[in-house]
Amino acid sequence: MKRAFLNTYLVYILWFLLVSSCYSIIKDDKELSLQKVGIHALALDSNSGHYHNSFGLIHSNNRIMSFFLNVHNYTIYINDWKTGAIVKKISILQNGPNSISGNPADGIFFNSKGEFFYYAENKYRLYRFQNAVPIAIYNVLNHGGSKENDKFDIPSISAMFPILSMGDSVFFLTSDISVYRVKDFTILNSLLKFQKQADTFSMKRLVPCPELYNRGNWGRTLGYQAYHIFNADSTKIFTSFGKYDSIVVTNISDLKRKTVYAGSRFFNMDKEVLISNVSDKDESDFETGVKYDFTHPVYFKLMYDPTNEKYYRMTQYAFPDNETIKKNKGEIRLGISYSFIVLDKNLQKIDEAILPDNTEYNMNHVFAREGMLLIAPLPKYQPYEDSLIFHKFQLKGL
Amino acid sequence: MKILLFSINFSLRGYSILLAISLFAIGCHDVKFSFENSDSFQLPQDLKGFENIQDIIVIPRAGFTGCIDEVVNYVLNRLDSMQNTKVVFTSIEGLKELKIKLGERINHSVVYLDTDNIFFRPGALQSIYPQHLQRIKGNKFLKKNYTIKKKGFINGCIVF
Repeated sequence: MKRAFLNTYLVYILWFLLVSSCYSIIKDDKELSLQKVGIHALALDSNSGHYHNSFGLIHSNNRIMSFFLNVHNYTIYINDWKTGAIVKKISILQNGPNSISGNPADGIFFNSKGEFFYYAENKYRLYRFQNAVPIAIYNVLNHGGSKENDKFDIPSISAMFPILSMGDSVFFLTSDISVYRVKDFTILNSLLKFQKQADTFSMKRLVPCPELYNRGNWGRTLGYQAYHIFNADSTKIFTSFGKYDSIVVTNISDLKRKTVYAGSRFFNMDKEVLISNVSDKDESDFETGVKYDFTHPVYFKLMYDPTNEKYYRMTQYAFPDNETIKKNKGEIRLGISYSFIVLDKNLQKIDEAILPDNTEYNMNHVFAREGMLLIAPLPKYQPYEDSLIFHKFQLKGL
Repeated sequence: MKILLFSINFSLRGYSILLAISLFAIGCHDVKFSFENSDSFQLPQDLKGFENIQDIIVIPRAGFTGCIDEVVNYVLNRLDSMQNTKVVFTSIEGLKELKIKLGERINHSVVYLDTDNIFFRPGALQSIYPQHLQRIKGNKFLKKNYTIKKKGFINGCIVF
């Protein structure tokens, strides 16, 4: 009798634990969500469109400014992020000593001193400006050796792949790790740091590629992207690889590294099927690789919001089927959804929220600020000629 | 026959930006993923300005920077030398951006802004890549192929 009671008791306990765990899972699923709460507008003049490869935010005297480079008139526009008003236009000198001489910018970057750098990828030149006056040119190749021989990818600058600034140093970090891919798909074991200190540059191998890149081929491009950020209060670089569930944290001072799991609940890269044929030699292989890119999950940009001390890791996660491009009424759309993995300041995963909207967004214009995610729709969905509109999403359930 | 090598150098990064930005899309299920394309295109009878046109260069998704922008640059620099040719911008991603880029050339006789997406329809031309069409008979145009040869590069070939 006693034993029967004990068994019944244990069954109840097990049932309770089971229900609790299920409830916990269900609760997790519903706990965190993104809700569109409005729009944010930045003023544009008649010479500026709605898409800018080089777009970023600057913190200056407790103000947040946004900047972008208008590639049509070589002018940097600075807007007050809060009011949206244009507060400054900087025309880049195109003639004379140290001028950019018509070299189109791959991207620009402002450091904490108000200097900005203008990077012309086609000439591998980095121009340094003070008060809109060019004061130096650095030839990136001179410091990095041969691109071909050393498997050295010229770092790029954009809103997705910004230069990182720490004290007096700036860091270019290779964002496209596919350049390390060799015939047997082995990834050479490093990303590159390109560091400027006291007007000189040095280059070191900094962040190793995760081992899973050596298992085979992960598609054409997206899986081979790496997104880096600094936490402004630390000396660490946080790297999100396209096909790696964890985030790699590298301490700049001693190059010690650790990995922290920050994977999506919607997929597991360890179980992902690789692609066997990615030769670029003919069109079909190329397209096979592209199709793989957009029909398999991938991690994107990593962001940090100092206001609420949260990290956000963007993912491309849902694939209704393998035939997902929509081509209708002159539009191209993908059957892809996006989510944001939210992590606390210690990189402990809190939860993951799905982007609920049905709009197509511009991944280059995604920011986490003041507890909000701000994302600009693609230019064709921008409703006003004189404004760049961001949709504001608030996380509910944090 | 004049042969013009249409060589567009797309860096991997540029390619990724092209795809990542322009194809950042959500929640669509009803149309097939396909780069397949019809080999021919039937020009609508009532489309004005194409009567004596022999060649059409169709550029989809212009209006933002990236590798499509390089195609646009290439073509725009050669507008004056094009004869019996139309450059059609279709499935335009950013109309304001494109207008700024075209400037005065928006009124060039060679340029056609396909804001109704006549050249980007299901079953017709829906490539995300630039296309070259050549008139073969009546209003029927034949698509000329582009090729991809080098790792990290896309080389297209436009034949006039």
